[in-house]
Amino acid sequence: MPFPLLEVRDLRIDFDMYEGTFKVLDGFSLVVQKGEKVGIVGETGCGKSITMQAALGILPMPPGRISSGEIRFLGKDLLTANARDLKEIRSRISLIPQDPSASLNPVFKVGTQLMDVIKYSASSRGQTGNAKERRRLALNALKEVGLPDPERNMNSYPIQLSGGMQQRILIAMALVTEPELLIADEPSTALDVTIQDQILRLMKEIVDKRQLTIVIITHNLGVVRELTDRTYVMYAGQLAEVARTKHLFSQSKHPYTQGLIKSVPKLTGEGISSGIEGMIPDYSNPPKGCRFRPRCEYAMAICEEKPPDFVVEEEHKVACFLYRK
Amino acid sequence: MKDLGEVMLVLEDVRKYFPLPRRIFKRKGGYIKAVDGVTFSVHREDILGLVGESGSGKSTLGYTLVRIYRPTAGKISFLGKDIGKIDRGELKGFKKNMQIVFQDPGSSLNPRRTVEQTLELPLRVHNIDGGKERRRRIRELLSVVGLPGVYMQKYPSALSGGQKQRVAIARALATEPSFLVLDEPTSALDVSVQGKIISLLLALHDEFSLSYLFITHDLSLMRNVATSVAIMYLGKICEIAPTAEFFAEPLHPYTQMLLSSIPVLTDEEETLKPKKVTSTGEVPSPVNIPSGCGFHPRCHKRMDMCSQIDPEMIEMGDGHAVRCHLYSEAEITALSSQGT
Amino acid sequence: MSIEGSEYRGFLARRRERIGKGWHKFSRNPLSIVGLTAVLLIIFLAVFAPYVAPYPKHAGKFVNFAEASQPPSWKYPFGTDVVGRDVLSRILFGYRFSLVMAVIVLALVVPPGVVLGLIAGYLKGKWIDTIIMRITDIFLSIPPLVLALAIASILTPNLFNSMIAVSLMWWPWYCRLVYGITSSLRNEFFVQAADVIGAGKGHILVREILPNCISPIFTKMSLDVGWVILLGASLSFVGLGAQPPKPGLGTMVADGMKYLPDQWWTAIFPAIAILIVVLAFNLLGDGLRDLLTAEEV
Repeated sequence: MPFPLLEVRDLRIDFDMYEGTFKVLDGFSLVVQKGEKVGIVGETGCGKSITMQAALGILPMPPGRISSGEIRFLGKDLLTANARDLKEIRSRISLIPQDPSASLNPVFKVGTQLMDVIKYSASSRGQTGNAKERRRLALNALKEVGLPDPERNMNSYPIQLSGGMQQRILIAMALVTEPELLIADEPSTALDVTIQDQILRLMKEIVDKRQLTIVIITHNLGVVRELTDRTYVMYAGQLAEVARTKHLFSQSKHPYTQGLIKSVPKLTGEGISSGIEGMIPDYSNPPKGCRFRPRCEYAMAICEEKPPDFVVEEEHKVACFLYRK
Repeated sequence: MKDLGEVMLVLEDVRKYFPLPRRIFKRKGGYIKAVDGVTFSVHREDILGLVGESGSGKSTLGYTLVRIYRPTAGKISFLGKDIGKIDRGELKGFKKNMQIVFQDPGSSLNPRRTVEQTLELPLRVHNIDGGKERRRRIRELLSVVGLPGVYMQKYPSALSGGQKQRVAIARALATEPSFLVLDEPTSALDVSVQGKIISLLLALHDEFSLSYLFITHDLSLMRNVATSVAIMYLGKICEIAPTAEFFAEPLHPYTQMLLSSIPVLTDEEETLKPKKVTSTGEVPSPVNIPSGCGFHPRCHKRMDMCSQIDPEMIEMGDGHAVRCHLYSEAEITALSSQGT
Repeated sequence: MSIEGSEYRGFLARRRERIGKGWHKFSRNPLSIVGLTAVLLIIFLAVFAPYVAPYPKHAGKFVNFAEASQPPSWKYPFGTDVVGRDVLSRILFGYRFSLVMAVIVLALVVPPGVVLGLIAGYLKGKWIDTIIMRITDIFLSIPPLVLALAIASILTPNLFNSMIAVSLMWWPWYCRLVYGITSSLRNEFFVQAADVIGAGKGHILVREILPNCISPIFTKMSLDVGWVILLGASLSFVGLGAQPPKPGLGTMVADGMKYLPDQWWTAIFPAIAILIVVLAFNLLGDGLRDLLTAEEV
């Protein structure tokens, strides 16, 4: 059995602040096999971004602290790896960050930034290159992401380009390092609907063509439905449900997932749902056990213990005592 | 047809242009034509959804209505009065009656002011109540938006996005307006919170007989909330219709492109989307408006005349109007004489 | 129990929490604590100079040639100067002068600078903005010492006039600071909201925008104390500030310069005193800035 490309086991992350310790991630686990397209869905503060930051080693520590758990890339433990191995592993993972307008350096031309990425990733793989070669690679990358005038874009500053173009450049920067694993953080949130459509189609195309493994982090359910095979739903630092994306939408089991899906206004015109009662918990004093319990209409006494992941179908797990065997 | 209430707001060919800074070595001054000839009317208790992408001018139009911007041209009549011509004294009365809720709850509340101080502002400006009465009224406002009185002393930094937006709504209601401009009031909020705020807005609409101009990019939301929908593109309205009619038969190619690009969650919704129109090209900026019909570079049904002549709004009956050559008299007669 | 009562208690509790949180942030950087302590000490010494200084009379007209030019000893910890005055005592009184000068200068400078900055920033683009900011630019473009010298040479050299000179130099910085904040804030939604509600411009400037300027203003003020003192000392050094026999720190350095390197204590200790006060206020100012800018997060 080959190692999964990325595996997170029972990860717990705390943030030590003046007001107290915030237990932001409470035992989250994730498996991504090579070639899969996985989504992580959740609302603000659920811990999806933090999980990826920890995997990439960019979690701000302090105040963050990984209190327990493992993160493994192809079997290798990222949390205990030495600097050299870590560098090598990181060169095989790429991040498409959120919000292009904040992720591109406004005072450097696009070409410079792109070629810098090529230069640094090559050096971490022990290769050197020359400037001409880098330029060629950069131009190719821009062509691949569908920019019609790569030469001109190379010489532009980010502010001269539209949101959609900036997003394409971020994708190009992620691809140019030839990663095995691509992590996309809110890839289309800042974009207009018609541009979002283009970007999602582009990503689908690229992922299929290059046979990449991709993890998409988003709060937009529509995006995971378009792009992923399997989706994790997180709530307040815990797993709520994980399933094949199709099943998640047609047969969601966890009350939170159901509430979430119901909250999205539908074209069928069913009216507005009143959302989900209650608020996200205070992480410095979270509810014991299932953190959704205070908001759940099916809450039972046993929910004060943390529910294990019950398997309801193949590849469909729900962390909810309603599905206790 | 449903009895339309009194006419609250009428816009006639409203335009808002921003002058581009003149360069010393370039001859042309030029304008950003953010709003370029908008006409519609809103009746009492209507919820008009104004939908568009960035650069469409929808927010600019909203700001022009509440006089953050002065219109460059055109007439805006509110409750029969031409707002462009009212004097200072009447202006304050107008401001009492039309308010706005902004998009970003984070910056629509002064971070240095408590909730109470923020809500007191409109009451103080318009000399409503005083002293103890005022505090009571602030409490009332908070309870109307579902916040307990203890929130009065909190600073915005202690509130969640949804709570901040509730305060912003309470502030807008403080002067008992009859018309609210809502500029993407829930775009910055989580999905599970959006529903609560929208439900609140709908409840307030019913209870106080309010009229809304609901500015958004979210068509699915409008399907469930609006009484009529208008689509804006590059400062002009492309299509406007009562909601059911709008979604049943979207006429404008841009509307079709928008609707077919929405990421939906259920298969049922997929069937309701118009045939897939692959969106191409970038959302243009109002600095560089294409000649003729602003949408023609991206239009999948483009004809020769579209790059030369800007179409007029064409009434299609039942309150449905569309600005597109495809539906002009000449075109229809030409087609019918050609084919069959 | 009246509503007011319990709310007030809640209000006090929140105040305490904010102060506690603020202290926690401030005290994270040990240098800020050093700065704060030093500043408090300096203020204490300056205020109570007549009681703390070992030889308070040495601060004024006093000569004692018998004990002139003594090196540092137990009796005179910083030695005595050329006419027999205790350097330490004079330094403590020198701090008095420096702080008084700083306080007065800032009091003169901050209000007009802030007011002009608010007006220019809010009415950005209009002619009044241009007028105010160009005047500001004019003052800023003249090198500080040159301007101060020019002014001081017209007026008689004394402490008061050197304060005026420094004030004329300093106000543009506050104008600029507030101008920057105001012109960016005026497009924020909460300012627009106040406008839409019907609030007048005066209200918006004072009640909406100004409270958001307070933190940067205070930070700048605490940093400025050090610099104003330094500028004042520079003026005294060239003879335009406190005139002898008054113990201005700069004057002391100037006088002491003639006797380097033999009677080094007459110049070095006052110079170090200047260094310490500038550094202390800088550290305090830095700490305040870290505290106040991170506050909103």
